[in-house]
Amino acid sequence: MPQLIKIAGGTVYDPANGIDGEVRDIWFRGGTIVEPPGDQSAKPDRTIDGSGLVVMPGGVDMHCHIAGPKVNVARKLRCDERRSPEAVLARGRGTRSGSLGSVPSTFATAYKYAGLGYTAAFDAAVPPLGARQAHQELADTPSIDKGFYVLVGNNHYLMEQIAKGEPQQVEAYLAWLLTSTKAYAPKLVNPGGVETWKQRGAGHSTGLDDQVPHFRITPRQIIGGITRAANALGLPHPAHIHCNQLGMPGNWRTTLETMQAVEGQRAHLTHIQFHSYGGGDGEEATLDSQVAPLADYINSHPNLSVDVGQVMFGNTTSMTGDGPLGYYLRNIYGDRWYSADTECEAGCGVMPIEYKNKNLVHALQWAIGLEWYLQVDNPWQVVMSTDHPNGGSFLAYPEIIRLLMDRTYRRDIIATCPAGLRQRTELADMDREYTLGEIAIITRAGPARLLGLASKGHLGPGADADITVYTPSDNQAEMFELPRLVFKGGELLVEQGEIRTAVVGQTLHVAPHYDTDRLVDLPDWFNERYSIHFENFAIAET
Amino acid sequence: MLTFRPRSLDSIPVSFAGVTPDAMVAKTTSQIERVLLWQGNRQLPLAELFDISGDPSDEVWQLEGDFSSVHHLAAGMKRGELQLAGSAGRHAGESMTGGKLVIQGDAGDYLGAEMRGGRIEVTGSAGDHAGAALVGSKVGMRGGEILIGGSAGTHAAAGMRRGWVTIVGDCGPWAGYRMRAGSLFVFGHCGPRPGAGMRRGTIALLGPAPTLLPTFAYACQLCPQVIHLMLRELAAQGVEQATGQSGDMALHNGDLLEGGRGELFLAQPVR
Repeated sequence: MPQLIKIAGGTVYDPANGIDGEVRDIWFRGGTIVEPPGDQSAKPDRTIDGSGLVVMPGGVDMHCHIAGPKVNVARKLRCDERRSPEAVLARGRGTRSGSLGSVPSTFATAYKYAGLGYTAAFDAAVPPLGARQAHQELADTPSIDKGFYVLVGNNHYLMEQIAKGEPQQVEAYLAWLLTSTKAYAPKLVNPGGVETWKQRGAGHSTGLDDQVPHFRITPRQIIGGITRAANALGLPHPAHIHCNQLGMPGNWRTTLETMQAVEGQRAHLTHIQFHSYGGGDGEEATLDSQVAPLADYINSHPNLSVDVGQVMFGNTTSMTGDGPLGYYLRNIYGDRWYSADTECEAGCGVMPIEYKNKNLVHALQWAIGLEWYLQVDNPWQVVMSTDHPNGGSFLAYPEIIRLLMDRTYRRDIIATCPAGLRQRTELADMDREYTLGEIAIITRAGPARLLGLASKGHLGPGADADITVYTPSDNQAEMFELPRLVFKGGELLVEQGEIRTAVVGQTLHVAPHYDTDRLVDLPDWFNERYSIHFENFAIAET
Repeated sequence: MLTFRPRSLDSIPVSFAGVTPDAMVAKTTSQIERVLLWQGNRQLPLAELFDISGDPSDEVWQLEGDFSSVHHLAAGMKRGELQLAGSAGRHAGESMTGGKLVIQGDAGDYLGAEMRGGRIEVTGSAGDHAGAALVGSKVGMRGGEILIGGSAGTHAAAGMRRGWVTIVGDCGPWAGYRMRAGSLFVFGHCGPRPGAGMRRGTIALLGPAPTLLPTFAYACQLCPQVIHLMLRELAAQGVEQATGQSGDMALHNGDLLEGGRGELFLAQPVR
């Protein structure tokens, strides 16, 4: 029988079970949290003294880029980040060597997540044809549980069926695609916009009512069609939407229309920071924050949620399934750029990017991200993310926590930004400070609930024994940077920054039921258009 | 002066990164003997690989022998002088900010790559990417001078932003690729595609030139004073080929795909 372990007397933050900083014991056995024994004299096999320490469920990152073709391209593109000896992660006892930088190698990614107290992470953009590579990389990402979202927003078959008005066909195909690629959720990236750019080679900005050439369909119809199908299939995380016109001044109207286009169904809008800009006509100089009207809409629509996509100052790598966005950024920064067209499915753009606090646009992006955390009333609807590595590395999460919990520190950083920031954002006047309980929501309980992960993000009986124990500090960044203990499935992964073991995590995916008869014509459709044979497409169960 | 002679070098690469006259000036000779160097995948005290003698306090080092398996010689050097009687490995003088590196022999690839200041002289030939950007970098050399008495490989002065590279012998393809500023002189035969993607900067081809890319446009025939002065300077440095040049050149503007503000001077008509 596996050991019965007790973490005794820690200050527990378990918001999903209504526990907000109570001194309690947490009992677990064989990877699962159990009820404390009724018998007072019952003894655990092992007791860990948690007194004076903070106990939370393991962190859950619902939007990052850690596997698949674009991530691997970025690793090659950013060879410049791997030259210095500090970028090398040496082999340890039971751990593999790796390299760091903004896009760490697979094993290094896993160790760094675990070291930060995260026990689950989801890659947010894998083209169906890249699924096999993504699974191979995830298999080399130990320590954490993981999964990925599969790109569907510019999928030719889906666009054809939505245009034909065949909602059940859309449902069946979506279910087949998720099952075949072993994905966790559908992801829309610039729906219709990537396809438009792929056909025309120009024009970054596709609005919700612009026609997608050849397919005679609008982004609004794609968003509505796929969100409806995903909700009808009862997926745990129905629709993960990267809106049209990312990064464009004045894009907030399109974002608001997207929120309306899901017609009251469950949907998640991702890296919302990049989609909350005022100003107009592609003029970067007119950029300002339009978080307020969008956050108001979120506050009155519980069916919707967002993750932020916080920008942090420093050098990082932009990677996206939004091909036209890559092209747009390439024209601004003029650095090396990778672009790809994935057959009937998706696009891709990868390039280095540096966010500077002295640059007004970058400072504004940073401020708009923070505004989102502070303006969404219900923390269950907003999730911490940097869109790793797009806005910054996931390693910046402790720093973001400090910015949210300490308004004096926040104002100190605002003071280093250009003076023009004050006219364009109200961040300096916002007094709200996050509590530890709220941090526990936006970093673990909230994302777990939004992903439908019943056994994650909480510490109730039956939950996975994914537990992080922190040493409290007045400097919250220090507290969250170096957890005292990290357990995954009951195994001690990390102790004060030292990796103790690197267990194999699970790759999570969905397998919704669907009417297979509806897809009898799919093999022929597929074989006419794809570069690989239909029989070789689906990933087999292992 | 401190003198180095190889003791037991073979083909396994040795890195001299961080071991420069300025960085070691405060150490005694016996402390320098104990400095750890990477040889392949292991670290060894310097004295196991080299015999050293003399005094490091004047920041002048004399290296004698075959150092072709020793890389990163004088890399990151700030001041002082490193003279090598023999050949050097790759990355010699990389990211130098000052001082002087003299190689009486051949140099490997990435000689003076991303250099910011100082001077490098090579009597023999250099490998590929002399004065260029390292893989994955946007810009190459940002200051200083490199004088190569022999020939150079591909991508000489690629991504250069400031500084002066002179190749007395022949030069491989892609010379001055994506140059942003700075000067590149080639006296020997120049390989194909010089100045491809250059935005600004000056390339002077004083020997036989290849057919230029179609994105370089002939502008005029002229005798620019600055070229004249630079040739006189090179002659004063002992470059015999710099004497007797008329300085009368055909100016071509390019690369027109990148704005066309670069200057490509040809002393001889295109073949």
